[in-house]
Amino acid sequence: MDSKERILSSLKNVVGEPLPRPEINLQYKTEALTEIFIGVAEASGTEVFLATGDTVAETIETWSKGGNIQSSVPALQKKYPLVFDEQVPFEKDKMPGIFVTEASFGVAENAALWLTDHELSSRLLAFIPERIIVLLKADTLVPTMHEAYENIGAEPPFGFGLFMAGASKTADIEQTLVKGAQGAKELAVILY
Amino acid sequence: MKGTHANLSKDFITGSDKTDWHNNALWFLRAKRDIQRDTIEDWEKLRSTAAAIKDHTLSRLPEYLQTFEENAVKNGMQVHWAWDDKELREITAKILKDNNARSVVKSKSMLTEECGLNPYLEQEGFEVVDTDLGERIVQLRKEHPSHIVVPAIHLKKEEVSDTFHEKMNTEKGNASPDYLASVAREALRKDFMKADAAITGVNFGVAEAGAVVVCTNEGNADMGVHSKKTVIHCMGMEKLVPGYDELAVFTRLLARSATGQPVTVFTSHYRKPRPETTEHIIIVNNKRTDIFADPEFRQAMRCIRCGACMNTCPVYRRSGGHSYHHTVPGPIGSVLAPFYGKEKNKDLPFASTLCGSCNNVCPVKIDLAGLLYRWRQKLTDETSSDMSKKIGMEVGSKILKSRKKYDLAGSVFRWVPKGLLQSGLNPWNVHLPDGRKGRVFPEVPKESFRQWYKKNQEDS
Repeated sequence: MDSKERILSSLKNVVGEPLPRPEINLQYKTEALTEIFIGVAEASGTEVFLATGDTVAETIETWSKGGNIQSSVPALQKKYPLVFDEQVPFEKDKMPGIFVTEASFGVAENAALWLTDHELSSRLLAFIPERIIVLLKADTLVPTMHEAYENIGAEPPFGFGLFMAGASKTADIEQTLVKGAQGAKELAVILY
Repeated sequence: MKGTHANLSKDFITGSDKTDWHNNALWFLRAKRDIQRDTIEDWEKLRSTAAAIKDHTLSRLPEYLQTFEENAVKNGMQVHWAWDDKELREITAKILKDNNARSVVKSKSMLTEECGLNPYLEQEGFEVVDTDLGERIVQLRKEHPSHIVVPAIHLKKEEVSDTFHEKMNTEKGNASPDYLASVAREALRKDFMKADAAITGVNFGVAEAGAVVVCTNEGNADMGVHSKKTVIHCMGMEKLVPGYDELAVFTRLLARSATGQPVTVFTSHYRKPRPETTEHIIIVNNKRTDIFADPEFRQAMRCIRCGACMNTCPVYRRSGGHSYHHTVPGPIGSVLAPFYGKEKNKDLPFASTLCGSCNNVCPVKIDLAGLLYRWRQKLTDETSSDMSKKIGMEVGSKILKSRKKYDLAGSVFRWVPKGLLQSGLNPWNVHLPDGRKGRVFPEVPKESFRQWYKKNQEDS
């Protein structure tokens, strides 16, 4: 008997009566999603900028302070072409200084941004650049993770999916918060 | 009993000035957790829903495990089953060998700690680098994590500075966390570049999606997973949830309970491998079928390893994680430990005040204090007894049963000179290294309460 059979038969011998799948009833009406999102994001060290469709590019430029910008957002790729190459991920010349992407939606309760292969182009791009800008349409905000996973279930299945809720950080040395532990050192969200 | 919690904690409590500092560091996390709890409209309902989801999942665990495997395979993942720690180690080493991988970057996994994976791989000639900063620190010091979420919580920044100076040639005496973390970042970048394969733990397995979810704040798991051609996720079989709706409940609870964050910085869902990459999931038992088979203790398998019970435990906070001679310390660790050796872990359920604070913070409502109490009864019956304890209990029982003997025993202390009672000869006294007395036998009053009461009644 292989280990799979051994594990399953050990479990089946003692499992007992199945319990019903519980109903999850934890959704509440939430207003002022934008305000909540901004408050939580800023408390986690994320910079949030309010923009309109016309001022997005300007906000990117100002925050980037002239760094090497690359983007996976179709509308921005002409201006900020993506030269990052997944085959040589640590190649310094190809790595973006600032990576700009767009989240398909955001979550107000924890300021998490949902990104998948579709938005990222390369999975590593959510981690390897020094600074990241995520564009987010304010009307995509949902109150909690319950609505967030409802969205995910309704979208076409992803290969890699990520909730990103800030810059990479650690508090492993005496509880002192340090930004930029392994991944991006700074995260900015442009809400429009 | 040399290796007991009581003995192992002695050094931490009396040999260092860490007790209060450690106590406060953990309480800081507990306080942050409370702030997050208060932001949730229906926190208690969230907890009871989470407990019900876990109970449901466990009650159908064989089916969910198979559903998970089927869906993961459809997504292009390779699924393996390990009966015990040995099989996990062997499967991992085989995958690495088959893919010509010699060096590995690893993100945090208490399961692989439990299974002794690192020492085995090193012995087999692989190079293993733990990439979570806290884990890297304890790895460089050849220690084990003292906490399941914050592995280096027992260390002061000066100690980290000394370790880094010795192993990574950082400036001597520079203990700035910013500086130390930035040096580690640069060093780990090189490790990420060099490595051939990545290994991660798993926080949640989503049966209906065939996906595994890993939560980190540093992004270290992803740095490895997305840059290597060989990827292995090691998952304890209790990590399953049915679907995304259930996952939502746990992503709301985990980081809030663990570190008082609204969510971890990165919640990564790995469903399909990148092109030209082989991605493996190893489903691990290692005694979990024994825990599952025990109707009283099955609820311990609800655990999502958030560490909240440690952060709040008055014994853990003051004795440090290394006093628990088991991979997982604190209340949940002491509930699990006897399944991995009753005789050698029989002291751990006694390393508790049974105050129940752990029950109040557990996001999946495990009756930790109740289970610890139950273990005490079982272990007393099922393991060899400690002679000094046994004699003590028997003598105590005789004295407490008889008023005469009780009076006599009490008065004995009045005859012993104070100097002797408060000297080093009495093991109850604790002397600190600088000569101060850490714990002194209290002065014995001249008369018992009973005598005093009698006298005062007569006076009035």
